[in-house]
Amino acid sequence: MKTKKLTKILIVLIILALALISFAGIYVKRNNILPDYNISMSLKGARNVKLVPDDSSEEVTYDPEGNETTEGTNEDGTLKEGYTKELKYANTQEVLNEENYEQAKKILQKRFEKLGLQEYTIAANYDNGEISIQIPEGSDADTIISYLTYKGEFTIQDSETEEVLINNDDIKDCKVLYSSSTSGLTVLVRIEFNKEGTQKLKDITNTYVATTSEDGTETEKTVTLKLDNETLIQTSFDEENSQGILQLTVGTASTTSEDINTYIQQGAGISSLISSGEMNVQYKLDENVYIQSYLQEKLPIIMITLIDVLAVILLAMYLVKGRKGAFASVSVIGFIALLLIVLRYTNVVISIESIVSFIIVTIADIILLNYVINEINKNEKSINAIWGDTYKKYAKIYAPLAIISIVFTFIKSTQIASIGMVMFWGLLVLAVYNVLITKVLLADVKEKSKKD
Amino acid sequence: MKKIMNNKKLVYGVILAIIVIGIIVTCVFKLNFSLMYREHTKITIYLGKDYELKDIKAIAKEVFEKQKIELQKVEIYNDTPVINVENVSDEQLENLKTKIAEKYEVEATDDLIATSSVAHIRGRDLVMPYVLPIGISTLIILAYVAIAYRKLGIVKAIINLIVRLVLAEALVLSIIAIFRLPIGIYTMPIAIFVYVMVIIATMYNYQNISDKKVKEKKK
Repeated sequence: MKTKKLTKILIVLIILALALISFAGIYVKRNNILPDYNISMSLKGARNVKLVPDDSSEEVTYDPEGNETTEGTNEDGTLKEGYTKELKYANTQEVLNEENYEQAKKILQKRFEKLGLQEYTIAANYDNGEISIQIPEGSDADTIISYLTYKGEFTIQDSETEEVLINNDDIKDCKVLYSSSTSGLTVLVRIEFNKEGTQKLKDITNTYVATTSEDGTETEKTVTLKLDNETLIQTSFDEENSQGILQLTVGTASTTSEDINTYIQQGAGISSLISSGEMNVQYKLDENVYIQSYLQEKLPIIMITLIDVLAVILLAMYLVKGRKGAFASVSVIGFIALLLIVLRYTNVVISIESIVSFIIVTIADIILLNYVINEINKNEKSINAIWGDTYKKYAKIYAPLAIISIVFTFIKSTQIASIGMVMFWGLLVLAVYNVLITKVLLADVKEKSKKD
Repeated sequence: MKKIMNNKKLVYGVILAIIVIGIIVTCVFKLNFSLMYREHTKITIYLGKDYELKDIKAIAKEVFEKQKIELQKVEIYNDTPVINVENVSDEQLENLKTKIAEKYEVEATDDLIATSSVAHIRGRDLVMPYVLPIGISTLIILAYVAIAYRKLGIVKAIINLIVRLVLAEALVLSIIAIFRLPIGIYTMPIAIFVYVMVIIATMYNYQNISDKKVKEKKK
């Protein structure tokens, strides 16, 4: 009897220690050695970016045939005969419409997905085309932002005549690939063309080749690959390409080198721009600042409200179920504390959505304990039989929670994945913790009620 | 029994009435989006001095009176607060500038305050990310119900769960619409909470019926 009492005291002390560690932390030399919570963008803050349609213009000179030229002025600065000068706007009035703003928003979303950004918000003002974006603050935030103002216009042009031979319409997909060799890891951008694009590429690779004439002079017809009029590469081809796949080398470096990360980021950026399509509107960056979440001010109120509600529920458990209710309440506190520690170590993102998931598993734990207490009160079975039957029954009831947790965990969006992850760890902790801790706590009470 | 049936009918009648009212309210008045989710103006105050958010809040409340406001901090330095407000007039801006300048003893220049508009986040953009996970989860759960509770009648068990889920979500959305509760950061988590709790409640219900049947058979 004494051993059981000691065990019970030990269990309560363990729960108290868990609660202290979880809520206050373990401090060594004034530093909490517990890992920090991984707080989501919605709770912490985000890089706020605002894109606006580019309203800039430049003076362009046209030759008598209407082609753009840079050689249209005389030495004294006057225009040559037949040449004209006009203002060329980054965006014409015709492209500034709701349809194109929506297209830009969708292309930006595709770029985010291609860049592996799992948490972001995007909103467009369809009257003036402004796009407000929020992305998590981090080392790659600036790199991501640098890819937002590109139109994504990819072309393969004749280097001499600048005739467009291939454009975005001919592309099926674009990916980043890695190939390892003795010199290190090579980062490649792999462009896959559609049926029409494949045929065009085949023709290009047969036309744009280096040839040697009978007298030995070499002539090379080249193409230029351009992205938003920036030259990526100028090249000719050695052999026919009928596969419809073109690979561009971004760079080669050893796997340990910092350069490799830069190449990977560059490759991912180019790939996201090429594969997401071309925007009809040219955007420019209007704002780029880190702003703390407006929820930071509200978070203490939310937490206090949740703690109050929990306190009321636990108090009600004690008042309704007596001693067993009190022990169950202590167990619930231990469960919450342990789950919080697990969430710290598993680096699960804490968001409003995952807080809801946390509430759900806590309710699941309370429902299960309530059932166990009712069964104990019936005095029909042994404590082991009660727990065995409860686990069998609730495994069936909570199976959908396990399904939701697994499905949600594999969704790319951070907020949605966080719901699944918290639910997954919550169910795991619930199953293990109750059988190890709560069972021992309530076993003692069971014997007392038998005596009574 | 008749009383129970009548009560059930009454409950379903009330739920359906709320849903119908909710649909009408949504069609007529549209949904009420929270300030941060609807088109609004962001006022950035380049204070260049340490400040307390509560002081800025007090000034903003004086200037914008009954208008809803949300406050934020820019960057890591505590010298640039942001006030989000739905509409702002030139007079209110001047008033705000003057009050800020007075409180923090800075010059009320044009550079002190900058405004910019923030676009409206569409409801469909809030909901769309959840369609796939909820769709997949629901399909798997329905398959699970068909297997685990087949003795209750596969079709009946599945339809009952679907009806409960649809009614519960429609009810929540209708309540949000009728009481003009703001659609925002809490909306989807609430919808998820309702979705999961309805599933747990239904499973609990099915399990109890199933257990009763087993007990009756044993007897």
